[in-house]
Order: sequence, then structure tokens, then C-alpha cells
Amino acid sequence: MDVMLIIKANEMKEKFLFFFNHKLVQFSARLILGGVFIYASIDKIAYPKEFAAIVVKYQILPEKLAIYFAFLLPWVELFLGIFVILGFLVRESAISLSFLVLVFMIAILIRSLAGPIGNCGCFSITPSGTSQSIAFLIFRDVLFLLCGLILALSNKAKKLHESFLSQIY
Amino acid sequence: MSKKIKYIALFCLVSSAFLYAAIAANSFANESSRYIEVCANGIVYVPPNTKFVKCYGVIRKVIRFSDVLTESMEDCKCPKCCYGECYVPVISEMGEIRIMWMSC
Repeated sequence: MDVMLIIKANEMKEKFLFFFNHKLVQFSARLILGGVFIYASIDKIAYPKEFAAIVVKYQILPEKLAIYFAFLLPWVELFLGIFVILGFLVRESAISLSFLVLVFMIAILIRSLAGPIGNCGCFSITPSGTSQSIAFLIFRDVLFLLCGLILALSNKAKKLHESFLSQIY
Repeated sequence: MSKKIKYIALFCLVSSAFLYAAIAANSFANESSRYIEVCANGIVYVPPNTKFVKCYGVIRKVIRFSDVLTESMEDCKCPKCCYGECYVPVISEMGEIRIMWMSC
């Protein structure tokens, strides 16, 4: 019984690692994560003052620090997004983007404690007219985080995959 | 082009973008200290071309000015926020009271 369970667990692990390292999965994750961050940076670079006003509104960072953060963040998003898509420093960029997504999730949760979020400043800086649901924002960020983790852990997963195969054969 | 030159070119590109952003942020940070406080000091004069103000010390983007306030919008006075906007009465160029909407 125990042996059967171990074999099944190993089979599942192998399938999971195979999925993780599949070229199509890696490519899709790169395209989604890179594309999303490049798209997100465009409006913020075009209207940095408006974006700074949104970041200040979160009231998490002191005003001056929030302004510097708001002006620098879109460029970081743009470069990391380009790196991920072009395949340059993919793992490092994916780790940085995953960290950014985590920061955004925490910021949204903190902001939501103070009341409904008008415009989260995630993509567009113009007022959305409707308040975005926290659950939707978090769910969306979890998907981006998943893409980031697929890329960030891919090398590790590849090594795991190889060591796993060497143990079997 | 050798790999080293490519890395140097990339580093210069990234650094110049960050330098530009930092300079712009510095100028905005200095500028923000001069924004008119519209919420804490009663009804104040706001020039018509104003793009940013402060409400209880927080920078807000001016969305629009209007002359009338519809009944359904009466509850949206700052700091109460309705769909990402709130209003404060301000004094216009002509000395009249107008409604200024800003982001929240």
C-alpha cells in the first residue's frame, strides 16, 4: 500500500515537474508576465504625476518616498517585462516581478482596510468609475504570481527533475 | 558587438531611465509642497488650471470643476469617496463658489 502511494506520488511529482519545465508553459508564462508588466508600465510612464497621486493615496509610504517609488516603479516594470519576454535574465527578472506582485497584493490589502479602492493604479491611471473588487484584484495578482513562480523556479525545477530522473534510472 | 559592450549599453540605458525618473520625481516632490490644501482650511481659492491639490495633506488629482451639484452626488463630499471621486466647494476666479471634483 505504502509502496503504491510512493509510486503514485513520484508519478505526480514527475508530471508536475514536466509541466513546469515544458517549453510551451515557460513561453506562455514569459509572454503573460512580461506583457502584463510592459502594458502596466505604459500609462504610468506617460502620466507619472497622476500615478504618484495614486501611490500617495495608499498612505503606506511617506509622501516623498511614495513619489520616488511611483516615478521609478514603471521603469522597473518596463525593463523587467522586456527582459522576461526577450529571455534575458529571465529567472532573476521573474523573481523581482513576483516580489513586486507580492508587494502590490499587500498594498491592496492594506488599502482595502481603509475603505473601497477607487482606482488601484494597477494598469490605468484614469479613474475607473467603479470600485474594483479586492477579491478580483487579489485573484489577478495570484495568477501573475503563479506565472512568476513558474519562471523563477524553472531552473530549480529542472535540476529537481534531473535529480529525480537520475534516482529512478 | 561583444557581450561586454552590450551589457555596458544596457546598463547605460537602464541607468539613464532611472536618472530621468529620479530627477522628475525630485521636481514633483518639491512642487507637491506648494499644492493648495482644499479640505482642511474651509473654502479656498483654486485657480481654474490647477491639476493637483492636497486634501488633508494627501496629493489628489483634480478631475473637473462643475457649477452644480446633483442631489445624488451630495454625499460624495471629501473625505467620503464615490466611485473614485469626491468633491469640495472652492472659490473660482470670479469669486463664485464652484464644485471641484478630485480623485480619492
